[in-house]
Amino acid sequence: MADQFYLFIQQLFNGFTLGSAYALIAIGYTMVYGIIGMINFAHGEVYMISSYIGFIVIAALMMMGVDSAFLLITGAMIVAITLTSVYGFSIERVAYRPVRGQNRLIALISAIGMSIFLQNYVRVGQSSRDIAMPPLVEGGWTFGNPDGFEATLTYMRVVIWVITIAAMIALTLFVTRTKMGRACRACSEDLGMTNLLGINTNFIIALTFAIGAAMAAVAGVLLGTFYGVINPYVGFILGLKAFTAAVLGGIGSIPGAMLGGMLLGIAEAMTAGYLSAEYKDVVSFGLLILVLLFRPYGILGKPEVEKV
Amino acid sequence: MIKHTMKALGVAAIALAVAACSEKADEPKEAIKIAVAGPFSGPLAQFGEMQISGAKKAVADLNAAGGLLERPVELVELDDVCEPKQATTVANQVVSAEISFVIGHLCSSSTLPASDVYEDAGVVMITPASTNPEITERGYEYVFRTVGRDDQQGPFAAGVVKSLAPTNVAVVHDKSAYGEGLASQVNENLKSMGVNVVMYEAITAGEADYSPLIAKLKAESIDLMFFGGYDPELAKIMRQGRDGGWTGQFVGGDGVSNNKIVEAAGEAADGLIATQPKSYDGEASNAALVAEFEALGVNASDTFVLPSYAAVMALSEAITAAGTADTAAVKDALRKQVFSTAVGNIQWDGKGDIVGGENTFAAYLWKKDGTAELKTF
Amino acid sequence: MMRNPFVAALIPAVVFVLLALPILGIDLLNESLMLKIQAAPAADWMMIIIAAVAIFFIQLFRKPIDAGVTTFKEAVPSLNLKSYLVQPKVMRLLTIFLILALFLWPFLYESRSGLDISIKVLIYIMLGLGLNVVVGLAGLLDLGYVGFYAVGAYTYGLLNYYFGFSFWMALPIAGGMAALAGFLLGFPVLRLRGDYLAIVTLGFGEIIRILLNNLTSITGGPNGITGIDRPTLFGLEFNRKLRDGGWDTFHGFFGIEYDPIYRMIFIYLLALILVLLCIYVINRLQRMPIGRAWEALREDEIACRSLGMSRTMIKLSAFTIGATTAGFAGSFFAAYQGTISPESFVFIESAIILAIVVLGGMGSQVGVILAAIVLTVLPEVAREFSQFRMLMFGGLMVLMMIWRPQGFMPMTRPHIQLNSDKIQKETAQ
Repeated sequence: MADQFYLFIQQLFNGFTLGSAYALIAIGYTMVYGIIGMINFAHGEVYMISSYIGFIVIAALMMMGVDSAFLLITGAMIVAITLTSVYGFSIERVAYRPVRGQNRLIALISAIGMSIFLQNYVRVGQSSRDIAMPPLVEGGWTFGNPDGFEATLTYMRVVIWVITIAAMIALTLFVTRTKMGRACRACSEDLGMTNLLGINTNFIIALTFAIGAAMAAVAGVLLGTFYGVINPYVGFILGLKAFTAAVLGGIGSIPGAMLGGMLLGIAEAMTAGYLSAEYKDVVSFGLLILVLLFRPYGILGKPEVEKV
Repeated sequence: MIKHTMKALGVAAIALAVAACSEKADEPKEAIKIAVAGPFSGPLAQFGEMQISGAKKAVADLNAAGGLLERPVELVELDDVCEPKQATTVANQVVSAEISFVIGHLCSSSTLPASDVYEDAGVVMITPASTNPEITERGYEYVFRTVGRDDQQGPFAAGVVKSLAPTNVAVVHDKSAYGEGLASQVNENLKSMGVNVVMYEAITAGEADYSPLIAKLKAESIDLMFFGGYDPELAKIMRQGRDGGWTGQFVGGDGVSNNKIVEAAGEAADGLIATQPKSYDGEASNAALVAEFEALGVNASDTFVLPSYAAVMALSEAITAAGTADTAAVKDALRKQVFSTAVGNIQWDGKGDIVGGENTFAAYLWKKDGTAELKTF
Repeated sequence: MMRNPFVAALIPAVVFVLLALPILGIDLLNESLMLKIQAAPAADWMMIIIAAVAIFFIQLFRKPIDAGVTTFKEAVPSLNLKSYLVQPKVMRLLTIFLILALFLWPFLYESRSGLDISIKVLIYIMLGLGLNVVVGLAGLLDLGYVGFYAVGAYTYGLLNYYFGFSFWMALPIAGGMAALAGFLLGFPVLRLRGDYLAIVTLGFGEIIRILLNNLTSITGGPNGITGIDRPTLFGLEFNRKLRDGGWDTFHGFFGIEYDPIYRMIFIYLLALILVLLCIYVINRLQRMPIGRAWEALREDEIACRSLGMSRTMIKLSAFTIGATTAGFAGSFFAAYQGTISPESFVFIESAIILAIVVLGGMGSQVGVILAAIVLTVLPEVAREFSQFRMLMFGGLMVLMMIWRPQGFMPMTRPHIQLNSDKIQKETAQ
C-alpha cells in the first residue's frame, strides 16, 4: 500500500519535470501566436540550439578547469539565453517578417522550412550523433521503504522546478508590471490599434520572439543537463508536444501555456507509469482532442470573435 | 485543357531529363564495384564506421595486390541511416548503378527489405553484422553473412544471464527487427532454463525520458535487465536508471557493445555485460593485420571491423575461384570452399549462414574507462 | 536620420557570425569519455566567412535586389502560354501528343532510376492533388494528411500479408478505409477554427503512426510489413519466380527473359493512369456545386453559413475526397515499394505535401503538379550534396514563401479579361 503511494509520488516527480519543460517551451509558442497569429514551427529547433550552446559553454568551462556545477549551469544559462534570444529575433526577421500580413498558411510553410533548415544546419555544423555530458548534479533524496519501493527525488529535478518557477514568475511580472510588458499585452489584443497608438509594433514582435526563445533556452540548458544527451533531432518531438500543451491550455494565453504544459507532463508520466509507455503520446493527443471537443479554444483560451 | 498540356509538358520534360542523366550512369565500367551499405550518419553511425573501415582496408589491400581478375576494385559507400525505407532506396540505387556486390547492410531491419531487392536482381549480398535469423531463412541464394545469428546469440546470452543467478529478470527491447528478435530469443531461453522473467516490455527508440521504465524496474524488484537494442537507448536507460536509484545489473547484445555507450552513459555504464560476435583481434594470425589497422587509426577490436574485412576478402577469393564477376557463378563459388579469413575459417551453408556459428559469440564486461574485458561465464 | 549603409549592412553580417560561431565554428565532441570542444575544420570556417560576406553584400545592395524580387513575384507565366495555346485544335493535339509521350518514353529509354523517380513523382502528385482539395480548395488546414496515406498503405499491406488479397482487390478497400478515416476525422474537427484544426489533424496523423508503430503483433511494428505483392497484369506476375498458386509469370507467359524493369514500367503506367484519373475527377468536382461550395467555405465561412450552406457536408466531403485520394496513393506506394514501415509516414511527409500544395498555388492543379515534380526531383538530383540536401530544401521553402508566396501557378478562376492593359494587371492580381 505504502509502496503504491511512493510509486505515485515518483510518477508525480517525473510529471512535474516533464511538465516544466513543456511549460517553458509552450510559452514561446503561445506568445508568438497571441501576437501575430502564427504557429512558430521552428521553436522546437530553437530549444535544440540552446541545448547545444549550453553544452558548448559547459564543455569550454570544464576544459578551463571549472568544476562547480553551479558555475557551469549558470554560465551556460547566461550565454544560452543571450545567444538564443538573438536566434529567435533573427529567425523572425529573416523568415517571418517578410511574409507578415499574408495568408497564415504561407507563414506556416515558411516556419516549417525554417525548422527543417535549422535542424540540418545543426546537423551539418555538429554531427548527427548523440553528444553526452557527464552528470553535473548528482544525488538526491529518497523517500519510502528501502525494502519496498523507494521514490527518488534527484537534486537536479528540484533545480529544474525551482528555476522554472522563477522564470515563470519573472515573465508574469514582466508582462503585468512593466511598460513593455503592457505593450506586449496590447499588441496581442489588437496589433493594428496598438500600432496606431504609436507603439513600435515591429520591436514588440521581435521582443516577443526573443522572450519565447529565452524561455526555451532555460529549458534547453536545464533538460540538456538533466538528460545529459543531445542530438539535432531532440527539438522536434519536444516542440510538437509543447505546442500541443500550448493549445491545450489555450493558445494565446501565457497562464494557459504554463497550465497546459504541466497538465500534459503529468498526464504523460502517469500514462507511461501506469498504462504503457508506448502509448503515452496517443494519450497526450487524445487528451487534446477531448479538451478541444468541449472547450474549442483550450482550457484558458478566450473565444475569438470573428468579425465579418 | 491547358492544364493537361502544362502538366504533361512538365512531367515529360523532367522525366526525359532525368532519364537522359541516368543514361550516363548505365555505361559499363572497368572496375569491379563493391557497395558498402550501412548507417554512415545518424545515431548508429559508429557501427557504420566499423563496417566501412574494415571494407576500405580490404579493398585497399586487394588493389595493392593487383586488383581482382586484373580489374581495380572500387568501393561505393551508401548510407541507409539504419532505416528500412532508406535501405530499400539504397538497394534500388545499387541495382540501378549495376553494382553486383554488396557488403551490408548493418541493421537487421535494413538488411531484411534490402535483401528482397538484391535477391530479385541477382546481387550478391554479404552482411558483416546483421544477426536476425530470418535474413537467411527465406530460401534466398544471394544472401550471406559473416557473423552468427540471434538464435545462436540468444541462447548464449541467456546462459550468461543464468550464470549471474538473478532473482527477478526484466527483458526489454526497442521493437526493431534486431532488438525484438534477440530479446524474444533470450526470453524463451531464459524461461526454459528456469530463470524468473518478470517483465517483458518494449520501449520506443529515440525517446528522451525513461523514468517510467526505471520506476517499473524498482517496483518489480528487478535485479537484472536484459536489453535487446542499440547503445543510444541503453545509454540513456542506464544513466537514468542509476540516477533514479536502480542498482541492478544491465546485460545487452552486440548492438550495445561498443565504447560509445560508455561515452554517453559515463559511470553508469560501468559493469555492463554485453554479448557480441567474438573479437578476433587477439588471434596470432591477425597480428599483422591488427597492426596495419592501428596504423590507420582503426581499432580492430571494434565489433564489425574484422567481419567486414573478412566479407570482402572471402568475396574476392570466390570471384577469383569462379573466374568471373558474374553473380550467379560467384554465389555458387561462395558455397564451394572453406575460406580462411580474419574471423576464422568460414564455410557457408545452403542458407548463407556460417557453419558452426554458435561458437562465434563471446561476452564482454564494460568498464567506466571505456575498455571491455572478455569474460567467460 | 540617415544611417551609414555600410554599418547597416555590417550589422546583419556580424550578427550572423555571432550566431554561427557556436554551431558551425565549434565542434562539440565526446573524447575519452569527456565533453570537449575544439575548433571546427577549416571548411566550416570558410562557410561562415563566405556566408557573412554574402550577407554583407546582399544587405548593401538591398534596394536593387528587392526590385528584382518584386518583378519575380508578379510575373505570372501562365499568361504567356495561354495566349499561345488559345486555339482548341492546337491544345488538343498537344495534349494527346504529350500524354502519348508519357506513356511511351519508358519503352524507349529503359532507365531504372528514371522510372523510380517518375513513380515517386506520380505518387506525390496524387497526394498533392488530394491535399489540394482539403487545403487549397476548402481552406481546411490539415497537418495530418499523412495519416490517410498510411491507412491506405497498411490496408493493402495487411490484407495482402494476412489474407493474400491482390492489389486490385485491395485498392478499392484501401480507398474506402481511408475515406472512412477521413469521415471520422471530419466529425470532431467540425467546430474547430483554423489553427486548432491544424493541431488536431496533426495529432490524428501522429496517433495513426504511433498505433502502427506499437501494435507490433498486427502491423509489424517499426519493421513494418515486407514482401507485399506487386500488382499483376490480369494475373501475370512480374517476379523472377512464380509465387505458389500463381498463374504464370509475365516473362514466362510471353516467352521472354526476366528483367526487373518490366515490373517498373508496368507500375509506372499504372501510376500514370491513376494520376490522370485523379486529375480528371477532381477537375470535374471543382466545377460542380460541391467544388464551388469548398471554395466558398475557404473564402468566408461565416458568409457560407449565412447563405444556408451546410458547413458539415462541405467539410466532411472535402476531408473524405482528400482522404480517398491519399488512400489510393498509399496502397500504390505499398505495392511499389513492397515494404512499408511507420517511418515513411512521419509528420515531415505531411509538411512536404502541404508545401507542395502551397508552393504550387493553393487550389491550382497545374501548380500542384509542378510543385510535386520540383520538390521530389530536387532532393533526388541533389543526392550528391547529401549533406546539404535537406538544408537546401528547408532554405528553399523559406525563400519561396518570401519571394513568391502565391505559388508557381496561382489559381485563376474563370474570368473575362478586357483588352485594356491596366485592367489586365488588376484582374491578374
